[in-house]
Amino acid sequence: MKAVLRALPMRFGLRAIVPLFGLALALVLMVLGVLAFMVTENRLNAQVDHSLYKREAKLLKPMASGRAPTLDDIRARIDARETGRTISQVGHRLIDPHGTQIAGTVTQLIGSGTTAGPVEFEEMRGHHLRSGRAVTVPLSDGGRLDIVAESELVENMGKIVWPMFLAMLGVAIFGGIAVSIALSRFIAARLDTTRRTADAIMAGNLSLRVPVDPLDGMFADQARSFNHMLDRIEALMQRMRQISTDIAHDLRTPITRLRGTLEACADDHCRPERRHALTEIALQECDDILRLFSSLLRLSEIEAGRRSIAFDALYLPEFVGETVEYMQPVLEDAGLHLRCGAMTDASICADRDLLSQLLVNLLENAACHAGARAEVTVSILRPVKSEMIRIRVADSGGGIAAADREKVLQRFVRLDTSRSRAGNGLGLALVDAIARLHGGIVTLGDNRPGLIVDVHLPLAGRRMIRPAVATAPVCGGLMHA
Amino acid sequence: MKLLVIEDDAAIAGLLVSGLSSHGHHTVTASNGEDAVVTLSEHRFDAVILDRMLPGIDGIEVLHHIRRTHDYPPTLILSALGDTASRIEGIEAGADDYLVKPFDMLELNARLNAVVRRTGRTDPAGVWAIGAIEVFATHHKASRNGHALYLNKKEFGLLIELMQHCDQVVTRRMLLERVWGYSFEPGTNIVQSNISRLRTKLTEFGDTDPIETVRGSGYVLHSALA
Repeated sequence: MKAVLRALPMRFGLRAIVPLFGLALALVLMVLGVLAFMVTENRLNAQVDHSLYKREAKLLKPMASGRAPTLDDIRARIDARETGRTISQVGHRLIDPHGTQIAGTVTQLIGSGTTAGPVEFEEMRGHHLRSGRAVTVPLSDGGRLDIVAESELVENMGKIVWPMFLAMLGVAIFGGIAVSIALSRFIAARLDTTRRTADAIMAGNLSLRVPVDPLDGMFADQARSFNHMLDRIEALMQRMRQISTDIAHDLRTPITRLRGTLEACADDHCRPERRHALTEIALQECDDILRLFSSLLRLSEIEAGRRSIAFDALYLPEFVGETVEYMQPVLEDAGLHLRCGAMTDASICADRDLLSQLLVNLLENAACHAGARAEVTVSILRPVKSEMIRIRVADSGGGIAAADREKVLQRFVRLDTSRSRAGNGLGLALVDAIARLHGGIVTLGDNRPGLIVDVHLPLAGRRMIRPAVATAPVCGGLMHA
Repeated sequence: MKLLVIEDDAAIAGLLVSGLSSHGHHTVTASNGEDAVVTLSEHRFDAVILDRMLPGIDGIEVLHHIRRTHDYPPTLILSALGDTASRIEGIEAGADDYLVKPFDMLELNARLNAVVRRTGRTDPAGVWAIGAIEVFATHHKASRNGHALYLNKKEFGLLIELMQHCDQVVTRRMLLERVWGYSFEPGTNIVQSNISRLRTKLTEFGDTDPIETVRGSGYVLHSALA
C-alpha cells in the first residue's frame, strides 16, 4: 500500500495530483458535514426519546394510595393531559384488552415497538401520516399504551440540510481545485527562476546564478544550494583548465630534454661510446617522464576519491616510528639526520598506504631541499582541546618564504630556488590531496630557521570537518587518553 | 624457458620475442584470446605473459581459462592499465604478477624467473637457511654464522625476499612492491638505502657481502656467498 502511495506522485505528475488534492479536500469537508448532521440528528432523537420515557413514567406512576393504575386511571390521566395540550408535542393512544381505543388523539400508528423508535402516525385532527418517534408499553391487563412524539423539527432539518450539503460539496470541489491549482502555480513560478537559470547555464553562461532576493523560505534555500553547486562546478572547471595548462607546460621541459639527447645521438659526428652514454641518458629521461605520469595518475585517483577503499584505524606512534626507521637510511645517505620528536598517543582513521606516501613525500622533500647536514624531526602533536592531530615534519634548512608557502602545495609549482634540483613538483601536491581525502589540511610554517609542514588530521571516531568524499570514513572510536 | 606471449600489438609482441630470446627463452606468440586457448591446449609452457587488453576474448577471461586447466602455468599480466583497481582485479583473477607498460626487459625477465619459481617457494614460517644465513620468520629473528642480526622490519623483509629468490635477480621495483606494498612509486632511494643498511649488518662480523648489485636491474643474493 505504501509503495502504491509513494509511486502515485511520480507516475501522475503535479498537474494530475493538484486537482486530486482539491477533490480530496472537498470530500473531507463533505464527510465532516455528514458526520455533523448525523450526530445532531442522533442527539435530537435522543432528546425526543427521553421525553417519551418521561411521559411513560408519569402515566404509569402508582396512584396516591400505592396501587398500580388501572386502564381507567390511565385514560383519565391522558384526557387531563390532552385537554391541556397546546404546544406539547406528545400524543397518546390507549387500547383496552379487547383492542378498542379508549383514550388519546393518535388514530393510526405504524412501526412502533417497545423501545423508542421512528414511526408514522396520524392524529384525529390531521389528514395525513406524519413522522415521529413512539414507544409502545404493553399493560399488565392486556391492553397497551402508545406514546408518540413528533419529530417534525428533525424532519424539516433534514429537508433543509441535504440540499445545503450538496451545494457545499459543489463549492468545496470547485474551491478546492481552484486553490490547489493556484498553489501549484505559485510553486511553479518560484521554481521557474531556477529552471530558467539552469537553461541559460546550459546554453553556455556558467557565471549565471539564481537570484535569491525575490524568493523566500525553502525556495531561497534551494536557490542558494543551487548557486553553491554552480560555484563548485565553476571552480572545478577552472581548476581542470589550469591543470591541463600546467601539465602541458611542465611536460615540455623533460620532453624537450629527451629530444635534445636523441638529437645528439642521431648526429653523424657522434662517437659510438658517446652514443651509448647518450642512449642511457635518454632512457633515464623517459623513465622520469613516465614517473611523472604515474604520479599524475595517482594524484587524480586521490583527488577523485577513488582510492578511498582501505580506511582503517591507524595508531600513529607506531606508524610514524616505522616510517622514520626505514627513511633514516635514505636521509642519512643524502647527508641529513632524521629523528622522531614528541609522539602523542593517538589514532586516526586512514588508508595506511596513502599515509605512507604522504609522510615519505614530506621526508623526501626535506631530503631534497633542506640542504646537507640539516636536522629533520617528525612529531605527533595534539593542541589542547583540539579534535585534530598534527603530524609535523620540521627541518632546519633554508625554509620557504611566507609569500611562497601558499602556492607550493599546487601541482608543478617549483620555486626558483628549487628548479635545479630533482623532483617533479608533484610531491607536495600529493601530500595536500591525501590530507584532504582524509578530511584534513596541510599548513606550512617557519621553523626559524627552516620549514615546518603540519598535516592536520581528524582523530579516529570524530566527524570530519571538511569531508573530501561523500561518505566520510569513520573508524571505531580509538582515541587513546 | 618456454614462454607463451599473448599480445595483440605486433610491434610490442616483436619486442618481447627478441628481448626474451636474448635472455635465452624460447617464445611463442598469440595475437588474441582464441588462438591462445588453442595453443595452450596443444603445448606446455613454463610461463605465460598476457596482455589484458585483447580483441575478442578479454585477457581476464583467458586467465580464467588458463587456471581451469590442470597443471596450469604461472601467468604474468602485462598491462597499460596501471591504476590500483586494475592491478587488484588482475591479481584477484589469478595472475601471479602484474607489470605495467612500458616495462623494462630486465624487469620482465627477473619477474618471470620469480614467478616460475613460485612452486618451490617456501612460505616463510619456521626456520630456514641459505648458506650461513638463518632466519626464524615467525619470530622475526635472523643470524649469520651464529651471530645474531638485529634487523628492523623492512630490513628483515628485504632479506626474506632476497633469500626466497636467491641466485635470481630481484629488481628494485619488485622489492618495493613486496616489502612496502604499492604505497609508492619507485624512483625513491628507499630500497637502495635500506639494502645498504642490510649489507652493513650482514657484514658486521667480517663475513663477505652476499648481496650483489646488478647494475641497471636490481640485487642478487648469492647462496654460495651466504
